Amino acid sequence: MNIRSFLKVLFVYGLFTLAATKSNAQVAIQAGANFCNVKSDVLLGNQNSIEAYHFGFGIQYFPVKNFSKLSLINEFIFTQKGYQQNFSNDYFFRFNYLAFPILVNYSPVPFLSLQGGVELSTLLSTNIKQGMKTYNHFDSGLVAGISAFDNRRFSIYSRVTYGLSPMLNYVLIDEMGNFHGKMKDLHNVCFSLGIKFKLLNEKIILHK
Amino acid sequence: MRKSFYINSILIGWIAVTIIACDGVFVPDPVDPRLPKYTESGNNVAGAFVNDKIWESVQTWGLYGYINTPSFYVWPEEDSVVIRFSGDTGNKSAWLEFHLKNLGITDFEDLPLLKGVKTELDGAENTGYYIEECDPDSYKYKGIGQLYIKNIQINDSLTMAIFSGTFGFTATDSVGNSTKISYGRFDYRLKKDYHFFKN
Repeated sequence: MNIRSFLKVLFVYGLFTLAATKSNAQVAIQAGANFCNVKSDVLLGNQNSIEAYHFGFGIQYFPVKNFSKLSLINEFIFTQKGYQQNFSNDYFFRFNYLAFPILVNYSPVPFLSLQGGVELSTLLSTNIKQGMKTYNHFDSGLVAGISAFDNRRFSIYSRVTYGLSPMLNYVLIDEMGNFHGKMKDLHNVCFSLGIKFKLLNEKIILHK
Repeated sequence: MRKSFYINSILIGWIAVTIIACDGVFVPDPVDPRLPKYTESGNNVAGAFVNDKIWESVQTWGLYGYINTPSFYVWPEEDSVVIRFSGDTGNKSAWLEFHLKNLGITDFEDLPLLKGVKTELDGAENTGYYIEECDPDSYKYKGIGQLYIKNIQINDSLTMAIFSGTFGFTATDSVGNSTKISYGRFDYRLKKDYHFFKN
Protein backbone atom coordinates (compact mmCIF):
# COMPACT_ATOMS: atom_id res chain seq x y z
CA MET A 1 0.00 0.00 0.00
CA ASN A 2 1.47 3.37 -0.98
CA ILE A 3 1.12 6.52 1.10
CA ARG A 4 -1.65 8.01 -1.04
CA SER A 5 -3.98 5.02 -0.71
CA PHE A 6 -3.15 4.80 2.98
CA LEU A 7 -4.14 8.45 3.45
CA LYS A 8 -7.41 7.85 1.56
CA VAL A 9 -8.25 4.98 3.87
CA LEU A 10 -7.32 7.11 6.84
CA PHE A 11 -9.53 9.96 5.63
CA VAL A 12 -12.58 7.72 5.23
CA TYR A 13 -11.79 6.17 8.56
CA GLY A 14 -11.54 9.60 10.20
CA LEU A 15 -14.90 10.70 8.76
CA PHE A 16 -16.48 7.52 9.99
CA THR A 17 -15.06 8.00 13.46
CA LEU A 18 -16.01 11.68 13.58
CA ALA A 19 -19.60 10.80 12.71
CA ALA A 20 -19.61 8.33 15.55
CA THR A 21 -18.15 10.71 18.10
CA LYS A 22 -20.79 13.34 17.29
CA SER A 23 -23.34 11.05 18.91
CA ASN A 24 -23.17 9.85 22.48
CA ALA A 25 -20.23 7.67 21.85
CA GLN A 26 -19.41 4.35 23.39
CA VAL A 27 -15.81 5.32 23.77
CA ALA A 28 -13.28 3.13 25.52
CA ILE A 29 -9.63 3.40 26.40
CA GLN A 30 -7.57 0.24 26.28
CA ALA A 31 -4.11 -1.06 27.00
CA GLY A 32 -2.35 -4.37 27.24
CA ALA A 33 0.50 -6.67 26.38
CA ASN A 34 1.64 -7.97 23.01
CA PHE A 35 3.44 -11.23 22.37
CA CYS A 36 4.90 -10.79 18.91
CA ASN A 37 6.90 -12.67 16.37
CA VAL A 38 7.18 -12.79 12.61
CA LYS A 39 6.33 -15.50 10.14
CA SER A 40 9.27 -16.04 7.81
CA ASP A 41 8.90 -18.02 4.60
CA VAL A 42 12.59 -18.78 4.11
CA LEU A 43 14.94 -16.20 5.48
CA LEU A 44 15.23 -15.91 9.23
CA GLY A 45 17.04 -18.16 11.64
CA ASN A 46 17.07 -18.42 15.43
CA GLN A 47 14.06 -16.17 15.76
CA ASN A 48 11.93 -15.83 18.89
CA SER A 49 9.02 -13.81 20.13
CA ILE A 50 9.24 -10.58 22.10
CA GLU A 51 6.99 -9.07 24.73
CA ALA A 52 5.68 -5.61 23.92
CA TYR A 53 2.67 -3.40 24.64
CA HIS A 54 -0.19 -1.46 23.13
CA PHE A 55 -2.53 1.32 24.22
CA GLY A 56 -5.13 3.53 22.62
CA PHE A 57 -8.84 4.10 22.39
CA GLY A 58 -11.80 2.71 20.49
CA ILE A 59 -15.29 3.72 19.44
CA GLN A 60 -18.13 1.23 19.13
CA TYR A 61 -21.40 1.80 17.28
CA PHE A 62 -24.39 -0.28 16.22
CA PRO A 63 -25.25 0.04 12.54
CA VAL A 64 -28.03 -2.57 12.06
CA LYS A 65 -31.54 -1.91 13.26
CA ASN A 66 -33.09 -4.62 15.45
CA PHE A 67 -29.78 -6.43 15.67
CA SER A 68 -27.95 -5.03 18.65
CA LYS A 69 -25.70 -8.10 18.85
CA LEU A 70 -23.78 -6.74 15.92
CA SER A 71 -21.59 -3.65 16.20
CA LEU A 72 -18.57 -2.00 14.63
CA ILE A 73 -15.43 -0.95 16.46
CA ASN A 74 -12.89 1.61 15.25
CA GLU A 75 -9.70 1.88 17.23
CA PHE A 76 -6.61 4.08 17.31
CA ILE A 77 -3.81 2.10 18.89
CA PHE A 78 -0.14 2.65 19.47
CA THR A 79 1.25 -0.86 19.26
CA GLN A 80 4.72 -2.30 19.38
CA LYS A 81 5.52 -5.41 17.35
CA GLY A 82 8.69 -7.21 16.36
CA TYR A 83 10.88 -10.21 17.04
CA GLN A 84 14.29 -11.21 18.27
CA GLN A 85 17.12 -13.34 16.93
CA ASN A 86 19.30 -15.22 19.37
CA PHE A 87 22.86 -16.03 18.40
CA SER A 88 25.87 -15.48 20.67
CA ASN A 89 24.23 -12.07 21.19
CA ASP A 90 20.51 -11.30 21.24
CA TYR A 91 19.24 -8.93 18.56
CA PHE A 92 15.89 -7.22 19.15
CA PHE A 93 13.83 -5.74 16.34
CA ARG A 94 11.05 -3.51 17.67
CA PHE A 95 8.64 -1.63 15.43
CA ASN A 96 6.27 0.98 16.84
CA TYR A 97 3.11 1.31 14.78
CA LEU A 98 0.07 3.55 14.86
CA ALA A 99 -2.64 1.01 14.08
CA PHE A 100 -6.23 1.50 12.96
CA PRO A 101 -8.21 -1.71 13.47
CA ILE A 102 -11.70 -1.83 11.97
CA LEU A 103 -13.58 -4.68 13.61
CA VAL A 104 -16.97 -6.30 13.37
CA ASN A 105 -18.12 -7.23 16.84
CA TYR A 106 -20.68 -9.98 17.46
CA SER A 107 -22.07 -10.69 20.92
CA PRO A 108 -23.91 -14.04 21.03
CA VAL A 109 -24.34 -13.63 24.78
CA PRO A 110 -24.10 -10.36 26.73
CA PHE A 111 -20.84 -11.15 28.48
CA LEU A 112 -18.96 -12.51 25.47
CA SER A 113 -18.06 -10.96 22.11
CA LEU A 114 -16.25 -12.16 19.04
CA GLN A 115 -14.38 -9.81 16.75
CA GLY A 116 -12.97 -9.98 13.28
CA GLY A 117 -11.65 -7.41 10.88
CA VAL A 118 -8.64 -5.68 9.44
CA GLU A 119 -5.88 -3.52 10.82
CA LEU A 120 -4.00 -0.85 8.91
CA SER A 121 -0.78 0.40 10.45
CA THR A 122 1.86 2.96 9.78
CA LEU A 123 5.35 2.70 11.22
CA LEU A 124 6.19 5.51 13.64
CA SER A 125 9.60 4.48 14.91
CA THR A 126 11.88 1.52 15.49
CA ASN A 127 15.02 0.60 17.40
CA ILE A 128 16.79 -0.14 14.10
CA LYS A 129 19.26 2.67 13.56
CA GLN A 130 20.38 1.99 10.00
CA GLY A 131 19.04 0.39 6.85
CA MET A 132 15.36 1.17 7.29
CA LYS A 133 14.84 1.38 3.51
CA THR A 134 14.66 -2.41 3.56
CA TYR A 135 11.52 -2.37 5.69
CA ASN A 136 7.99 -1.46 4.63
CA HIS A 137 6.56 1.45 6.56
CA PHE A 138 2.95 0.33 6.13
CA ASP A 139 1.39 -2.84 7.37
CA SER A 140 -2.02 -4.39 6.98
CA GLY A 141 -3.32 -7.39 8.82
CA LEU A 142 -6.25 -9.63 9.63
CA VAL A 143 -7.60 -9.54 13.18
CA ALA A 144 -9.57 -12.13 15.12
CA GLY A 145 -10.40 -11.74 18.77
CA ILE A 146 -12.61 -12.46 21.72
CA SER A 147 -13.60 -10.26 24.63
CA ALA A 148 -15.33 -10.94 27.92
CA PHE A 149 -17.65 -8.77 30.02
CA ASP A 150 -18.16 -6.41 27.12
CA ASN A 151 -21.48 -5.37 28.64
CA ARG A 152 -19.70 -3.91 31.66
CA ARG A 153 -17.56 -0.85 32.20
CA PHE A 154 -14.39 -2.96 32.41
CA SER A 155 -13.81 -5.73 29.93
CA ILE A 156 -10.89 -7.91 28.92
CA TYR A 157 -9.95 -8.92 25.42
CA SER A 158 -7.51 -11.02 23.49
CA ARG A 159 -6.82 -10.96 19.79
CA VAL A 160 -4.51 -12.28 17.14
CA THR A 161 -3.23 -10.09 14.33
CA TYR A 162 -1.65 -11.63 11.27
CA GLY A 163 0.24 -9.27 8.96
CA LEU A 164 -0.71 -9.53 5.31
CA SER A 165 1.93 -7.15 4.00
CA PRO A 166 5.52 -8.39 4.00
CA MET A 167 7.70 -6.23 6.23
CA LEU A 168 10.95 -6.81 4.42
CA ASN A 169 12.12 -6.23 0.83
CA TYR A 170 15.37 -8.08 0.65
CA VAL A 171 17.97 -8.91 -1.99
CA LEU A 172 18.79 -12.57 -1.56
CA ILE A 173 22.51 -13.39 -1.67
CA ASP A 174 23.71 -16.99 -1.57
CA GLU A 175 26.76 -18.22 0.34
CA MET A 176 29.07 -17.74 -2.65
CA GLY A 177 27.89 -14.19 -3.16
CA ASN A 178 25.51 -14.61 -6.10
CA PHE A 179 22.46 -12.34 -6.16
CA HIS A 180 19.08 -13.99 -6.60
CA GLY A 181 16.76 -11.01 -6.99
CA LYS A 182 14.48 -9.28 -4.55
CA MET A 183 12.19 -11.18 -2.28
CA LYS A 184 9.54 -10.10 0.18
CA ASP A 185 9.32 -11.81 3.52
CA LEU A 186 8.43 -11.46 7.22
CA HIS A 187 4.83 -11.08 8.33
CA ASN A 188 3.97 -9.66 11.74
CA VAL A 189 2.16 -12.12 14.00
CA CYS A 190 0.92 -10.72 17.27
CA PHE A 191 -1.14 -12.05 20.16
CA SER A 192 -2.54 -9.29 22.36
CA LEU A 193 -4.14 -9.33 25.79
CA GLY A 194 -5.67 -6.22 27.22
CA ILE A 195 -8.15 -4.39 29.40
CA LYS A 196 -10.74 -1.99 28.07
CA PHE A 197 -12.45 0.73 30.11
CA LYS A 198 -15.54 2.41 28.72
CA LEU A 199 -15.55 6.16 29.26
CA LEU A 200 -19.08 6.50 27.94
CA ASN A 201 -21.32 3.51 28.04
CA GLU A 202 -24.19 4.53 25.81
CA LYS A 203 -24.81 2.63 22.61
CA ILE A 204 -24.38 4.63 19.45
CA ILE A 205 -27.26 3.81 17.14
CA LEU A 206 -26.55 4.72 13.52
CA HIS A 207 -30.18 4.21 12.48
CA LYS A 208 -33.53 5.70 13.56
CA MET B 1 45.61 35.43 19.82
CA ARG B 2 41.90 35.32 19.20
CA LYS B 3 42.43 34.66 15.51
CA SER B 4 44.70 31.69 16.18
CA PHE B 5 42.12 30.30 18.63
CA TYR B 6 39.47 30.36 15.88
CA ILE B 7 41.85 28.80 13.36
CA ASN B 8 42.77 26.04 15.83
CA SER B 9 39.10 25.39 16.60
CA ILE B 10 38.27 25.11 12.92
CA LEU B 11 41.23 22.77 12.35
CA ILE B 12 40.26 20.52 15.27
CA GLY B 13 36.66 20.47 14.07
CA TRP B 14 37.73 19.62 10.54
CA ILE B 15 39.98 16.78 11.76
CA ALA B 16 37.16 15.43 13.96
CA VAL B 17 34.67 15.55 11.08
CA THR B 18 37.17 13.82 8.77
CA ILE B 19 37.79 11.04 11.30
CA ILE B 20 34.09 10.49 11.96
CA ALA B 21 33.28 10.62 8.25
CA CYS B 22 35.75 7.82 7.48
CA ASP B 23 34.72 5.49 10.32
CA GLY B 24 32.91 2.36 9.22
CA VAL B 25 29.12 2.26 9.42
CA PHE B 26 27.91 -1.23 10.29
CA VAL B 27 24.37 -1.62 8.96
CA PRO B 28 23.20 -5.03 10.23
CA ASP B 29 21.83 -7.42 7.67
CA PRO B 30 18.07 -7.72 8.36
CA VAL B 31 18.20 -11.49 7.92
CA ASP B 32 21.38 -12.17 9.88
CA PRO B 33 22.35 -9.13 11.98
CA ARG B 34 25.79 -10.59 12.70
CA LEU B 35 26.79 -9.69 9.15
CA PRO B 36 26.77 -6.23 7.58
CA LYS B 37 24.02 -5.69 5.06
CA TYR B 38 25.19 -5.59 1.45
CA THR B 39 25.40 -1.90 0.54
CA GLU B 40 27.00 0.24 -2.15
CA SER B 41 27.43 3.39 -0.06
CA GLY B 42 31.09 3.22 0.91
CA ASN B 43 30.29 2.24 4.51
CA ASN B 44 33.87 0.96 5.05
CA VAL B 45 32.75 -2.42 6.36
CA ALA B 46 32.97 -6.06 5.35
CA GLY B 47 31.84 -9.31 6.90
CA ALA B 48 31.61 -13.03 6.30
CA PHE B 49 31.16 -16.36 8.02
CA VAL B 50 34.40 -18.25 8.66
CA ASN B 51 32.96 -21.72 9.18
CA ASP B 52 30.45 -20.86 11.94
CA LYS B 53 32.33 -17.80 13.26
CA ILE B 54 32.01 -14.21 12.12
CA TRP B 55 34.81 -12.33 10.41
CA GLU B 56 34.18 -8.60 10.57
CA SER B 57 35.98 -5.55 9.24
CA VAL B 58 34.86 -2.11 10.36
CA GLN B 59 37.26 0.73 9.59
CA THR B 60 37.94 2.63 12.81
CA TRP B 61 40.34 5.25 14.07
CA GLY B 62 42.98 3.64 16.27
CA LEU B 63 46.06 4.78 18.17
CA TYR B 64 48.27 4.80 15.07
CA GLY B 65 45.69 5.76 12.49
CA TYR B 66 42.92 3.85 10.79
CA ILE B 67 42.63 0.14 11.34
CA ASN B 68 40.78 -2.42 9.23
CA THR B 69 41.35 -0.52 6.03
CA PRO B 70 41.31 -2.24 2.64
CA SER B 71 44.42 -2.42 0.46
CA PHE B 72 44.65 -2.76 -3.29
CA TYR B 73 48.05 -3.75 -4.72
CA VAL B 74 48.75 -3.74 -8.47
CA TRP B 75 51.62 -5.19 -10.49
CA PRO B 76 50.95 -3.83 -13.98
CA GLU B 77 53.78 -5.71 -15.70
CA GLU B 78 52.50 -9.04 -14.47
CA ASP B 79 48.85 -7.98 -14.81
CA SER B 80 48.18 -9.14 -11.29
CA VAL B 81 46.30 -7.68 -8.37
CA VAL B 82 46.11 -8.41 -4.63
CA ILE B 83 43.11 -7.16 -2.68
CA ARG B 84 43.31 -7.34 1.10
CA PHE B 85 40.50 -6.81 3.62
CA SER B 86 41.67 -6.58 7.26
CA GLY B 87 39.47 -7.43 10.20
CA ASP B 88 38.93 -9.76 13.14
CA THR B 89 37.46 -13.18 13.74
CA GLY B 90 36.43 -13.21 17.37
CA ASN B 91 39.43 -11.80 19.23
CA LYS B 92 41.92 -12.81 16.55
CA SER B 93 43.13 -10.49 13.84
CA ALA B 94 42.40 -11.97 10.45
CA TRP B 95 42.47 -10.79 6.88
CA LEU B 96 41.23 -12.00 3.56
CA GLU B 97 43.31 -11.76 0.42
CA PHE B 98 42.38 -12.23 -3.20
CA HIS B 99 45.23 -12.82 -5.66
CA LEU B 100 43.91 -12.18 -9.14
CA LYS B 101 45.39 -12.12 -12.62
CA ASN B 102 44.52 -10.79 -16.08
CA LEU B 103 42.11 -8.08 -14.97
CA GLY B 104 43.84 -5.35 -17.02
CA ILE B 105 44.29 -2.98 -14.07
CA THR B 106 47.38 -0.78 -14.39
CA ASP B 107 46.32 2.28 -12.42
CA PHE B 108 43.62 3.62 -10.10
CA GLU B 109 41.71 5.08 -13.06
CA ASP B 110 41.22 1.53 -14.43
CA LEU B 111 39.18 0.37 -11.43
CA PRO B 112 35.79 0.90 -13.16
CA LEU B 113 36.82 -1.98 -15.46
CA LEU B 114 36.14 -4.28 -12.51
CA LYS B 115 32.50 -3.25 -12.17
CA GLY B 116 30.29 -6.31 -12.48
CA VAL B 117 33.27 -8.68 -12.81
CA LYS B 118 32.67 -12.09 -11.27
CA THR B 119 36.01 -13.88 -10.85
CA GLU B 120 36.16 -17.59 -10.30
CA LEU B 121 38.76 -18.39 -7.66
CA ASP B 122 40.21 -21.55 -9.10
CA GLY B 123 43.06 -21.98 -6.64
CA ALA B 124 45.62 -21.56 -9.43
CA GLU B 125 45.50 -18.26 -11.32
CA ASN B 126 42.97 -16.63 -9.03
CA THR B 127 42.97 -17.51 -5.35
CA GLY B 128 41.41 -16.50 -2.06
CA TYR B 129 43.29 -16.71 1.23
CA TYR B 130 42.15 -16.51 4.83
CA ILE B 131 45.03 -15.48 7.10
CA GLU B 132 44.61 -15.56 10.88
CA GLU B 133 47.12 -14.00 13.29
CA CYS B 134 49.58 -13.32 10.40
CA ASP B 135 50.24 -17.06 10.01
CA PRO B 136 52.41 -17.40 6.86
CA ASP B 137 51.38 -21.05 6.47
CA SER B 138 47.91 -19.84 5.50
CA TYR B 139 49.27 -18.91 2.05
CA LYS B 140 49.75 -22.63 1.38
CA TYR B 141 45.99 -23.21 1.45
CA LYS B 142 44.48 -21.81 -1.70
CA GLY B 143 40.83 -20.91 -1.55
CA ILE B 144 38.47 -21.97 -4.31
CA GLY B 145 35.24 -20.06 -4.84
CA GLN B 146 34.22 -16.67 -6.16
CA LEU B 147 34.83 -12.92 -5.86
CA TYR B 148 32.13 -10.68 -7.30
CA ILE B 149 32.97 -6.98 -7.59
CA LYS B 150 29.44 -5.82 -8.15
CA ASN B 151 29.89 -2.09 -8.13
CA ILE B 152 32.63 0.50 -8.44
CA GLN B 153 31.84 4.21 -8.45
CA ILE B 154 34.86 6.43 -8.99
CA ASN B 155 34.68 10.16 -8.26
CA ASP B 156 35.23 12.88 -10.86
CA SER B 157 38.69 13.75 -9.62
CA LEU B 158 39.67 10.05 -9.87
CA THR B 159 40.99 9.97 -6.30
CA MET B 160 38.37 7.87 -4.52
CA ALA B 161 36.21 4.90 -5.46
CA ILE B 162 33.37 3.14 -3.69
CA PHE B 163 34.13 -0.54 -4.02
CA SER B 164 31.39 -3.08 -3.22
CA GLY B 165 30.84 -6.75 -3.76
CA THR B 166 30.54 -10.27 -2.39
CA PHE B 167 32.69 -13.35 -2.01
CA GLY B 168 32.78 -16.93 -0.87
CA PHE B 169 35.50 -19.59 -1.00
CA THR B 170 36.82 -22.68 0.74
CA ALA B 171 40.48 -23.31 1.61
CA THR B 172 41.60 -26.79 2.61
CA ASP B 173 44.81 -27.47 4.53
CA SER B 174 47.24 -30.36 4.05
CA VAL B 175 45.35 -32.71 6.40
CA GLY B 176 41.98 -32.00 4.86
CA ASN B 177 40.58 -29.43 7.28
CA SER B 178 38.46 -26.90 5.44
CA THR B 179 37.97 -23.23 6.18
CA LYS B 180 34.77 -22.11 4.54
CA ILE B 181 34.32 -18.39 3.94
CA SER B 182 30.67 -17.77 3.10
CA TYR B 183 28.11 -14.97 2.70
CA GLY B 184 31.00 -12.50 2.35
CA ARG B 185 30.24 -8.89 1.48
CA PHE B 186 32.25 -5.67 1.42
CA ASP B 187 31.62 -1.97 0.88
CA TYR B 188 34.71 0.26 1.14
CA ARG B 189 35.91 3.68 0.06
CA LEU B 190 39.22 3.17 -1.70
CA LYS B 191 41.41 6.27 -1.70
CA LYS B 192 44.12 6.47 -4.31
CA ASP B 193 46.70 7.92 -1.91
CA TYR B 194 46.00 5.62 1.04
CA HIS B 195 44.65 2.30 -0.18
CA PHE B 196 45.97 1.86 -3.70
CA PHE B 197 49.57 0.71 -4.21
CA LYS B 198 51.21 0.41 -7.60
CA ASN B 199 54.38 -1.66 -7.76
